[in-house]
Amino acid sequence: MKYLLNVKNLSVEFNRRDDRILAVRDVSFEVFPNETVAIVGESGCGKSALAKSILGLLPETAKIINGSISYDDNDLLSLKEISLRSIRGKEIGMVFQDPFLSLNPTMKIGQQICEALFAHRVSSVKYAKSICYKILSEVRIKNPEAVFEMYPHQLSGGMKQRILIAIAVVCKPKLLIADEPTTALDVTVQTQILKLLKDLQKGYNMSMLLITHDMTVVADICDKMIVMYAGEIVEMGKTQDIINSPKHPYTRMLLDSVPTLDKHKVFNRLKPIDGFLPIIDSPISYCSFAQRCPSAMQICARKRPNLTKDKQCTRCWLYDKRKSSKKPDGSQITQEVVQAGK
Amino acid sequence: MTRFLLKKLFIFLGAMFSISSLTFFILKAIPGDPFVQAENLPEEVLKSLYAHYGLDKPIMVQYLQYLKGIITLDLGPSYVYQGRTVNQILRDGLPVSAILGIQSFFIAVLFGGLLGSFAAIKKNKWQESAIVIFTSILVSIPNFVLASLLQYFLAMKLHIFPIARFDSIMHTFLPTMTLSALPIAFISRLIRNSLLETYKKDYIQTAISKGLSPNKVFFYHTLKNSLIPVVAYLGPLLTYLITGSFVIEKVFAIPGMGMWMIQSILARDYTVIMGLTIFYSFVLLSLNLATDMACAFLDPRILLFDKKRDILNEPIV
Amino acid sequence: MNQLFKPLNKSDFLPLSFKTVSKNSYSFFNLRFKVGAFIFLLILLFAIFGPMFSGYTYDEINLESKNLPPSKEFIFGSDELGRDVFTRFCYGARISLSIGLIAAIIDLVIGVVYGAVAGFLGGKIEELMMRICDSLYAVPYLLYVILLTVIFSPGFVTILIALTITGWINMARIVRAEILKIKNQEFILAAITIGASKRRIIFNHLIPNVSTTVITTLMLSVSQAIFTEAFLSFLGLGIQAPVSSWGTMICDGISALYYYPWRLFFPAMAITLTILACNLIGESLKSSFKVI
Repeated sequence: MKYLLNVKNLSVEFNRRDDRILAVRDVSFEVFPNETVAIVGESGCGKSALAKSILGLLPETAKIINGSISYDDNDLLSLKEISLRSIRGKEIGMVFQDPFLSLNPTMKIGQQICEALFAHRVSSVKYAKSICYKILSEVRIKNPEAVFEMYPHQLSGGMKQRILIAIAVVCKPKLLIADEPTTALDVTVQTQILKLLKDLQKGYNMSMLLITHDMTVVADICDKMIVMYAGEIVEMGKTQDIINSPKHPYTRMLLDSVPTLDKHKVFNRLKPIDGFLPIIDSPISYCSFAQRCPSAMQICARKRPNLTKDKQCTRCWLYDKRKSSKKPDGSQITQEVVQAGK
Repeated sequence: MTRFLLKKLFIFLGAMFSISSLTFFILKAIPGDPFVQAENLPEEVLKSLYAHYGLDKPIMVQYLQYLKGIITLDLGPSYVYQGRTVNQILRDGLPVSAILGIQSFFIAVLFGGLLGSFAAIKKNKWQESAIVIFTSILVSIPNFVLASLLQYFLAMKLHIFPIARFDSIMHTFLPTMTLSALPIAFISRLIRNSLLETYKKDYIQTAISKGLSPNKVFFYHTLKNSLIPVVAYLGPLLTYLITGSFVIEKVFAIPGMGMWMIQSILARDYTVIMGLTIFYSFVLLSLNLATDMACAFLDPRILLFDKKRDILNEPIV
Repeated sequence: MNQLFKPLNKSDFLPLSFKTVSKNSYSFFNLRFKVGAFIFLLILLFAIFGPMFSGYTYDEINLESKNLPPSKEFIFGSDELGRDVFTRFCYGARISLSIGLIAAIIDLVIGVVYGAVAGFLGGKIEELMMRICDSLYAVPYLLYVILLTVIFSPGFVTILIALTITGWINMARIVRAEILKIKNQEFILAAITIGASKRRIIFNHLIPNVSTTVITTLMLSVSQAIFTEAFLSFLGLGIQAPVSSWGTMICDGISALYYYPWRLFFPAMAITLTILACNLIGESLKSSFKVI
């Protein structure tokens, strides 16, 4: 099956006066039609930078230093601005994190939605308005006609997020990127929004790239999951597989750290992950998680692991094929590993 | 919207009333009497002068007559220049000052807006730094200094413009340039800062992600939200134009209201001072009311919260 | 060989720097601040020490040495009464700087207290206080100043009074706005909960936190005060002869502009530079405080 979005070896760098931060390091993945992919990771691990680079929304201080992003056979990184504009909104839609700040406060809601339509070859105002009412009811807003004339400050957070979703899907894109759409909302509203996203995805036959730091969200609605740490992918595969048997120590610790209401475990201590996310400023030749990893080995400090080539791939020396061929006491090491260690 | 308007109107009338009363009582409190400048007049002449001007009546009566005068748009006579009334002075001086003021207003807004937008667009390039430095210096030059320098270099030495008076269009160039210099610098800084602030906001990102062209993003999203500080500045701008006109009219010998104001102050012509002050206040309060309405139109949140954002942290002269 | 897969001793492994703060912290004393401060100090030097070097006083009339261009005898030249322009210039510096600083500080004290009290007390009292401010602010500042100089005879003290009577309003408004921002934060609630008195909260919590904005506004008030004083003196409503303010010097200088330009040039340059210096300092403080 042909992919919809193909990201290959993407690296993004942020430059501020003296600082250089490698936000995204050598990331590759694919999104197929009608598929929901989640990108999970801590704040600062590069997921938002990744999402923004797809649509060219990176700030001026950011530079894509390597890699390619293909959408439907077009290399998005080499497209001229005009062509990129025709993709934004129409082929790929994006929902942003903070509903309170992402809407123009001095423009009516209806106008903001219709703008997206007018930018993509809808010229009749009446027609645009009717599409607008339709989409507002699809995102489950109770009185579309009234909301059409309102300003953002007259609406609640949940409603604002629905409006943002409406703006993103009104031109029926094939791919929807949702950058932490529920982070700024209450838990009850979160569930509603997630359900809405899932329904829209099914109803419009879209693919969805959902970026979040909340594992519980992922389990519900995503087919595939990508775990990111310090700018690189550390585990990737089917959601069910990863949640049932996480491979990478980081993934395991993330799943363990989710608080539970299970009455047998509720009085146990929470299991946080000690330490901080490192900020990488130049390419490194060791595992970025080694410092916080409970199963770190000597090789982890000397060489950077590559992604394994399974269905549920992971970037960890514990699963390197060469290691798996040895006995537990480590007596049978192949020559390659010895070379690798030097 | 109507409640907002009524509230502002009420404040307007209240302010006019307080200013008129304040001015009246302040000037009544000045020791000495207005005819002291004249040579020693005999008792009877003084008495009849007092009666003529109604100055022998008790203070409250004078106050009420004065208020009545304001409402009927009769601002009283001049004590120093016999036979002249404030209304006459207004009729003579207002057109001149108004032309100067309106010209400077539009030039300031137009050029300031363009300069500031240009500086914001060319962010991090040399044009931006040049404009920033230029406007910083321009903002610091006092208008009387600039007036004298321009008069010296452009009129006296280079003979490009006439030196003084206000008889032709060429005559308006130098005064307008001088008067609009500081507002141009200030407005351009204001708009540049505002544009840069707005540009960082999240909703600009949303607009771009919809696939809008850069022009649309700029005009409908960035610019529209950046205009409020500029509109809010228009009130103080007018204040500046009025006080600046005192200086400009003096340096360029322009027979406008500013010149009359200064003359009456130096001559202690109290009624004229009072009348002109009230007139100026009326003009200012009206324009402030208009800009409040414009701000509410630009940003509907103001209607709800009735806050006018205090973006103007720099004191305006 | 199998050592490679032995557990890692974390203390041996320190390559990843956990830098969470950018090593490039915005310098407080950046270029704008330095330039502004330098100019200001230079003018201050002129003001304090200038007259000692010239050997003249500001009103010493030497009719034989009228209208001389700058020379070794008269550093900035002489005016039409033979007075040394340099000494008068330095006295003008004294007047401008002292009026600027004193007026700004008085405005600061009144404005900060008024704004803090209004912001903190809130409710009807704040409404009333701000309404008073708004009505006073509606009339141009300068009209009040002019009215006051008419009532009392013009002079140093009159100008000072005139400047401070309305100058505090701007400061009060800004302070109130800042207070409103801070008031709703939780550490104020905490202080109230443990029983701090209102006075204590205002002086120990609110005021220190608005100090950054206040200092910035202070510098800008100084520049405005200097301008206003010169403006008034220029129009003849301020400092009177024979005391020389930069404003009066510029006014005199205009009439002699064609033949004796130095009489205008020096005070004009000086006042522009002084106002520029204050603005630069104020702006640099504003941007560096924003980062902090």
